[in-house]
Amino acid sequence: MRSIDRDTEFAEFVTAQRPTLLRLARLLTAGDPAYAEDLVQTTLTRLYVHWPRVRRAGNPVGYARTALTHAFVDEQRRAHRRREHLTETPRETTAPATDPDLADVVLGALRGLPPRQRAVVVLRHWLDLDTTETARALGCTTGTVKSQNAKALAHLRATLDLTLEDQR
Amino acid sequence: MNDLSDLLDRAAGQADAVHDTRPDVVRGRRALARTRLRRTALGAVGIAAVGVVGLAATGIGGRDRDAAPVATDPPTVETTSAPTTDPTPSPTPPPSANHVGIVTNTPPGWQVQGNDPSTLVMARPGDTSSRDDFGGKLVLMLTSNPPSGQKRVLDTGRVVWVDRSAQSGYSTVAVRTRQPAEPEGLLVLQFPTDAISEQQAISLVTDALVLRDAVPVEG
Repeated sequence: MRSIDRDTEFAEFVTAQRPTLLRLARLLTAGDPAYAEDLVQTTLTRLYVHWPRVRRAGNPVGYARTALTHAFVDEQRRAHRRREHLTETPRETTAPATDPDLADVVLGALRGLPPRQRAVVVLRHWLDLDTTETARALGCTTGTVKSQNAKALAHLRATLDLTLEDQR
Repeated sequence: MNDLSDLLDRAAGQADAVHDTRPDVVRGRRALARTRLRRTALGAVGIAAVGVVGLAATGIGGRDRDAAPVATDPPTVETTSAPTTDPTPSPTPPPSANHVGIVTNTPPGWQVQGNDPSTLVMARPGDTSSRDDFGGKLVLMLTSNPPSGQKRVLDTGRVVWVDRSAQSGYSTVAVRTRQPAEPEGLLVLQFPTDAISEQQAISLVTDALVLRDAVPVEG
């Protein structure tokens, strides 16, 4: 594949999907804009390197979501995340939430979840992935997804005073 | 009663459209270039430590660009106080509209296999391997890394750095780009040690033109 083709296709993908990836990263990081931007940069760089394989797979959006989630989970496994890895000042591409107070409350509740539970909640309830898809993205079993989801919803229910479905 | 998906959607904020994809593309290119060079070195020397030396010679060390600015040269070895004779200069053809990144003469018995804003790859005619595979090829790459190897001064006053890694089977010749006509960086030629002579390698790298659209790889 020619480099120019790769650049063109990748740029089109970035234009279309970067905003959504950044929103996903914002939720996974519970509202840390620098960390979210870092995750998106890492994800897109991996995507560029493996672009021919990504194209062949035929689902670049799914690939990117999974790569971003893996990057987040992997990063959380490390004892000390080093912020100096950020390669540039975060872009201001995520505008403030429409309801800042409510957004802060929700992000605060997400912050209270362990990273994997947070990822389960975001993938299941924001991206609307089913249990199997979520398990695939996180590299775990569907049973783990269900148990993590139940614990996460219990925490969010207590924190947000919501009526939530325990299992979808 | 709020639905969780709605709450999450609000918390995710609004996303503005992307107006400039270039930073992401450039980061991707740099990572790809690092991956390609790493593959080449590993393919050439297996897992021997010599491969690491070869990578260091090409300036590929995974450093952050900001942390390792090009301006400072590392200690190098001066091989001789006498100037090295320049190879016979041969004019580099003027770039055409198809050229991007780096332009140079192609030595006899070689042909351009591919180029991008950071790299020019030359292979033997009939070589059908992927252009991502640098094994057995001449690879000119613009990097933002400091030079390494033996420092030599040509008759023209231009400085080149030569690193002959006999055990790895690959050598490098590097030269700084011409300022301010070319983008700042170090132009590195990686070549199979027995494929072309050192004089040919120096000629290739010193004759090369680095175009305005060239993008240095880092790390």
